[in-house]
Amino acid sequence: MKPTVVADEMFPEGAGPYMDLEEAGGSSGLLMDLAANEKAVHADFFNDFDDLFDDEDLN
Amino acid sequence: MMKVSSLMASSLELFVNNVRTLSTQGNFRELCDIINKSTTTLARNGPHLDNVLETLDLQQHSLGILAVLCVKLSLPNANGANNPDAYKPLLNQVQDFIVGCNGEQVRFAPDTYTELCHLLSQLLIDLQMPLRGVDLLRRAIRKIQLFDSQLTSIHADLCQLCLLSKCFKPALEFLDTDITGISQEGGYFDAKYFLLYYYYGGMIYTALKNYNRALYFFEVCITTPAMSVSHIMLEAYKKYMLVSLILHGKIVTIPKHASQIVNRFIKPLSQGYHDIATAYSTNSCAQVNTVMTKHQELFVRDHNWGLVKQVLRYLYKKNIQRLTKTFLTLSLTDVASRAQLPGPTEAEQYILNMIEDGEIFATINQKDGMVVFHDDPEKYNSPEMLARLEKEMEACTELDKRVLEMEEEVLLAPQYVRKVCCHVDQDEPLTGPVHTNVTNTQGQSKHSTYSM
Repeated sequence: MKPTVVADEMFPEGAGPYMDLEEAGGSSGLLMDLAANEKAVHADFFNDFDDLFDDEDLN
Repeated sequence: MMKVSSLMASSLELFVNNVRTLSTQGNFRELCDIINKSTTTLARNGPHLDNVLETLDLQQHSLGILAVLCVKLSLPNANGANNPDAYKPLLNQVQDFIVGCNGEQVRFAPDTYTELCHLLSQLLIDLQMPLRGVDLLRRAIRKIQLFDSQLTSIHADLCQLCLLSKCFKPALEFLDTDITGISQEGGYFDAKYFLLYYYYGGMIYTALKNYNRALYFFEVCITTPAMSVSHIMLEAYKKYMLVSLILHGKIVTIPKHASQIVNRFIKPLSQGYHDIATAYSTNSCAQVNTVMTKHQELFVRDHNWGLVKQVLRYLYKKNIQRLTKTFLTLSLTDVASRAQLPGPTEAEQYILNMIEDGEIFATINQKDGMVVFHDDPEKYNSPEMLARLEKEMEACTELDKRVLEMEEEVLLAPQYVRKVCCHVDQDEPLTGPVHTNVTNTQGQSKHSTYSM
């Protein structure tokens, strides 16, 4: 657990999980988190190939 | 009923007339607009589309034929049956079109042209005859490309068909050419096709055991700027790890320019693969085997079981290679025990394969079962080696030249210039002094002079 910066005495418990100030990226990182949490894309892409890397198939 | 059918006929006639007139006039932009608005009309007149095709000429009216074929491919087959014979006439029509159409004309509708190729690929996959489309898509790409190193969304289709038909070589003429531009396709180029091209391309190189190139392709895929988790990137990341272990014996650090999505979401979603990497780092085949058994279901589900087995095989090889650095001679039994192989027969097989592939230099004495390890005979003093060196240097010079050209393109791009100017405007105060840096000719420190 990293110590969080207490910027306001009204919130002595710290800045909360969404204000990890040591995390690089700052607010843009947070935005990215939110966007990524909301959706994953290309879930239906075609990946139903046979196992093309099994050398034992060749024997 | 008569009225309805005559209305339908007249709307089709209007379509044909527009195609003929505007094509003759060379007014292809307006023709594209009209064609885009005619899709519904064409779709409603499915049974009459072959009559429309008969009135159009392949070279002169390529845009019109393209629109009709696109609609025909998206409609369910009139014969109902989902068998190759029912689609034979349509497939022949599409083939004749791709081979004989006017390339300059179809470049006015690149989005429709690529859509035709996507629909064709999907149909061939559904009919389980992917090989039928390989050469056709190869031609389709060459027809629409503005230059050899331009990526189109059809590239991904071609790779997909090559993978499904297990016929990889036709894709190599594209994969071996580094991409320097992406076709805009009327603003419809979806990032999905970019990711798919590099993912499928990486798979083709992996199947052909060109691991260096495969790793590069997976790397491009996972370093694509992203705001969301793409399943294509996730699968590419799993294969990136396995190929990285085969090639380098460890997971190569992901470049810094990769999106934070990779570290935050994609890595935690690939835990089983990280377990393999951790076990691999101990050089213990037994530990890798244990992790393989533990996550076998996952690897099989991901169609990566064969690749995981190769990782283990490469660890055996790596362990044998390490022996060559310590010993000059060793019995096959000792090789087996030190490399954790089941017995001398397996050790012999591994060593023979490695000698054949130039991975080690050794001789096996069949009489006493001893292996003698040699040094690399390459002295780097042959004309062939010099020629290879020159070729590599030429490639580097070419790459450097290309990077400089691309940098210049970016610096001169209006979007970039606008953005840089905006930043300068924002940084500077709206009112106030304009400052100029002046350097003293006698080498003293810089002074800022201000003028109002």
